[in-house]
Formats: sequence, C-alpha cells, structure tokens
Amino acid sequence: MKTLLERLTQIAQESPERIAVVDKDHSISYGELVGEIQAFGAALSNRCPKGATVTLVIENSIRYVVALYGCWYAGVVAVPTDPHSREREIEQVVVHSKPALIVSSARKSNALAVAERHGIPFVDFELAGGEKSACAESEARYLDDALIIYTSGTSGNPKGVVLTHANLLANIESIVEYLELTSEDSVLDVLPFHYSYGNSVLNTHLFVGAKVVIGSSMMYPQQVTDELRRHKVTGFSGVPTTMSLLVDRTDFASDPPPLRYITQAGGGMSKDLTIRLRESLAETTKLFVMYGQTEATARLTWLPPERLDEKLGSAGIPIPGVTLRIEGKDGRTVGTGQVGEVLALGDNIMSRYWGNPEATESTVVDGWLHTGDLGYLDMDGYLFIQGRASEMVKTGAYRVSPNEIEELVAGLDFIDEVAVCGVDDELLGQVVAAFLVGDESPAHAREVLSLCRRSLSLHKVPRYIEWRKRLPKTASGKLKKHVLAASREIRA
Amino acid sequence: MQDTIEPRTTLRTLILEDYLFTDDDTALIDDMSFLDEGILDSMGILEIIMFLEERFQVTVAEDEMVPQNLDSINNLLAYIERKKKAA
Repeated sequence: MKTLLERLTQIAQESPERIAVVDKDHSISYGELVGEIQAFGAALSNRCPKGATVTLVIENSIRYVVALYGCWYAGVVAVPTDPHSREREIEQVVVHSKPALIVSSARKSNALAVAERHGIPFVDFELAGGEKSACAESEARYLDDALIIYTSGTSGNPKGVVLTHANLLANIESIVEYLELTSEDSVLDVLPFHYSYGNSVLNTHLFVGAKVVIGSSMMYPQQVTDELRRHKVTGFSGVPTTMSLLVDRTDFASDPPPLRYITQAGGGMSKDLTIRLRESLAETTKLFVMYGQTEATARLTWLPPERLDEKLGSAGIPIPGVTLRIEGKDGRTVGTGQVGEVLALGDNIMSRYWGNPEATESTVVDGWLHTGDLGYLDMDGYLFIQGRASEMVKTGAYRVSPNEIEELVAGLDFIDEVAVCGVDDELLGQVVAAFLVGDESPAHAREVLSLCRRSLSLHKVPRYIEWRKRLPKTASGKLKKHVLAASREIRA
Repeated sequence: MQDTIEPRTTLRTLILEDYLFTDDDTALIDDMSFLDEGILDSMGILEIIMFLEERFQVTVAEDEMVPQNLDSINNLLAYIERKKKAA
C-alpha cells in the first residue's frame, strides 16, 4: 500500500505543472510542492530520528502543507497545534508528546518560549529548507504513526489521537469515493488544518490531484463568499457556524457560486439551517451532511444529497469501509429505532491515544470505537444523533474539554469549586459556560476571565460565568452538568 | 445621545475590558490585528458590529465586513470616520 506522500509524489511526476495549493497571491504546483517537501523532509531527517514526534505551530498556508508532508518524508510523526494557542496550551502538548523539534515561525513567540524553556530545538520555518537530501525516498511506511491530533489538553488526562498512514488512507479513499472527487475539483478551505476536518479536506483533495485554495477567516465571511466566486472553486466545506455566517451574513444566496459540492460536518446542523442553506445553493450544488470525529480520522457517515429531504436531521449512512452499531447500556446491540451509544469499526479508527493506554482501552474495545455520541439507526440504516454521552463542548469548529478549563480555574484561591459545560448558542452551536462556587465578586469573575484569556485559546474562554451557592450533584457526588446547562441565568 | 468620550478611548476600553479582560493599557496596540492576535473570533466581530451600530449609529453592510474596516482599533476608527462623512 502506498502512503499519502507516495501518492502525492506520483501526481507530481505525472502532472508536475498542476496547481496544488493556492495561498493568497501565491500558488504552488505539485512538482514544486513535492520538491519543497523533500528539501524540508531531508532537513528534518538530519535533525531527528525516524519515529520521533515534531510539533508544528503553523497557520493554514503552503508552509503548513510542506511541513506536514515533510514530516512524513522524514518518517517522523507530526503533531499539529493551533497556531493561536497560548503558551500554556503549547506547553501541555509538548510536555506530553515530547517532540524532538518544534517547527514554527520565530514570530510565534509562544512556541519559541516553550522551546527555549524545555530545551527543545526550534526550527524557524522561514529560515529552514534547502538542505541536501539525506534520504532518497520517503521514510514513512504504511503502518507507521503519521499524526497526533490533541482533542483534550488537560494535564491529568491528555488525549492525543494517533493516526497512522493506514488510518489516513482508509478515510481518504472512502471520502473520495462518495464525494466523487477528481483532479478537476478545487476546494476553498477555511477550516484549520490542525484539526481533523481541515486535515481531511486538505488530504482528500491532494490525494486526487485537485487544487486546495486556502480561504480567509470566517471572521470576515463576505471575503469568503467573494473568494468562492473569484477562485471558481468546485467545493466548500464548513461546520454549522460557517454555513450560518455564509447564508445570513454575506450575499452568498443572492448570487450562489456554481459549486459542485458543499460539505458540512463538525456537529449537527439544525433542520432550519440545513433547509436555508440548501435553498441558497445553486441548483447544481450537492449538499453533503456528514458526521465523524477525530478518533475516526475524520469521517464516519455521510447523507447522500438526494435523500436529504427524506432523511432531514440524519447523519446518514456509514462511509465505505465503516460499520456502525448502536450499543445499549448492557453492552448489547439495540434494535432499530432504539437509542444507544454509537460504535464504529473500520480501518480509519485511530491507532491509540498517545501515552494514555487507559483512555485507549476504554475508547476502542475489540476494534470498536466508542464515539461517546448517542443515537439510533432507522429502518433504512440511517443514523440519527440524539446527543452526546461525553461532556466535550462543541463550539464552532472546535471541541473543548471542560476539564481543561476547570483545572485552570480551580487553581485560583477564591474558587472552591468550578464546573464547565456547553450551553446552546445560535451561531456557534454551543459556547463555554463556567459555574463558580467561592468568594463571589465582580472583581473575582473578571479575574477568572482574565486568567482564561491569558492561558487559553479564544474559543475556550467562557462566554458565560455564573456564581452559585452550590453545584447540583447526584447522590454519589457526580456533577449534574445538564442541569447546570439548562439553568443558566447570567451573561458574563 | 452624542458620545462625549473619544471614539478611540471607547473602542480601546471595550476591547480591553470585554475581550482581553485586563486594565493593562499596553496589552492592546492600536494597529494590532484582532484576527492575527486571536483577540476576536466570528462571534466577537459580530458583537463589535452591533456595538458600532448602537454607539456610533453606523450601519455595517455585508460587503463592509472586511478586515480593512474592522480588524484593528485604527481600522475601526478610520471606518467610523468614513461612514460619518458619507452620511
């Protein structure tokens, strides 16, 4: 079996002039891209042994693609990290994944500070490259670890999803099949590459020799609509927030771009928004509603566009190569229409959590991924998600671990107890809310927010803070977070 | 009611207090990009737009939601100025 890099190299040999990635005013062909990957990969392999981990702190860019695939050329494991991370967040990933190198830009002072504090060599991407090739061909092998994506950065229970080259290829081949992607396609990507959905969009399109256009931030949505038109792309991908901004905050609907496909994942999209989005699309555009998670590389199910109306609200059917079953509380498979935990089996299921065998054992049992999502299968085998068994907050394109925020806030001396959960939000799906027990005062609430702002990425900072005399608990002392989420009163 | 506080001070106070949660005036430089520095996100920028509309009576059209108008204190001030002149 070939790795993704070998596939890229093959495309570069067959069509070296074909454009691979467009980033603002710059574009790079497949031939040039592979050349840069090999140069950077060679530089890496001179500095760290095969199988080592390498932290990448790079924004969506051609440089990111070169660094990611360069890691694979050198046979090292890439650990992509949010370039907007605070120092503390990068440090947690670094302490846990023990990288041989940190690759970033010296302008990313947070990454540089962590490298210096821990004595880890720092490679300034802007100065690297151009070294003589040390290895004639890619060092990566099909079953090797390719990528670690952290979904939770708590010091007590870090969850770095380890994906092998085989995992990546299995998911890519399935997605390419149902989206019918070809080298004639081009996609505008606004999703962060360091997360599974953005990583998937990038890799699936490069796999078929298509063009990836790096889009602007959804913070300025009209720019994105303008880019869809200007670049004449055939595809676009987003989370529900992306779609809401596109439809409600731009002139997308008045002159819909002639896309071939638009894909949505990253949390359930309301029926209302699904209908409004579908109605705003050009007649020739197919809307693919999808579902998955990082532990499954990215994708588990897809809803065939022609059945969208009939199965509105469904996450669809398993992608090729994936089997689903719904498990009841007694561990047995439940019948049609009965709600239980969604379990998945396939070659795309992660290898393990990095350095966390306990979490791996409880999440992947006999090959079956326990998704933590609740749902049922209808009589046609279509999956309907009914909620989450786990407490992760899904906000915009991000998944946030409440524990990480609780751990931070609990360290303040005026806090006796803290509980963090997601509360519904029209734009972002959910936002983070913090419920506090302790020495209540506006100044202390502000101190909590200030600490979070300094220590956490923006999407993790609580949008709501509320003081409570006590937190609701079960008889055994377990927090009843759903009660908290439903009882929110005050805005921060 | 006409705002008696200078717009620059009003906007700086808003960002410092409601988004950076600090009273350290040096934490915000007036040409700092809200996007690049991770100061605002999609929701934050919508809140800023609502603030502009309420406080400065500026209506922000969809095609005006671009970094050149909104992505720093200086850009916001210049944008408000242009809108006031055009009104």
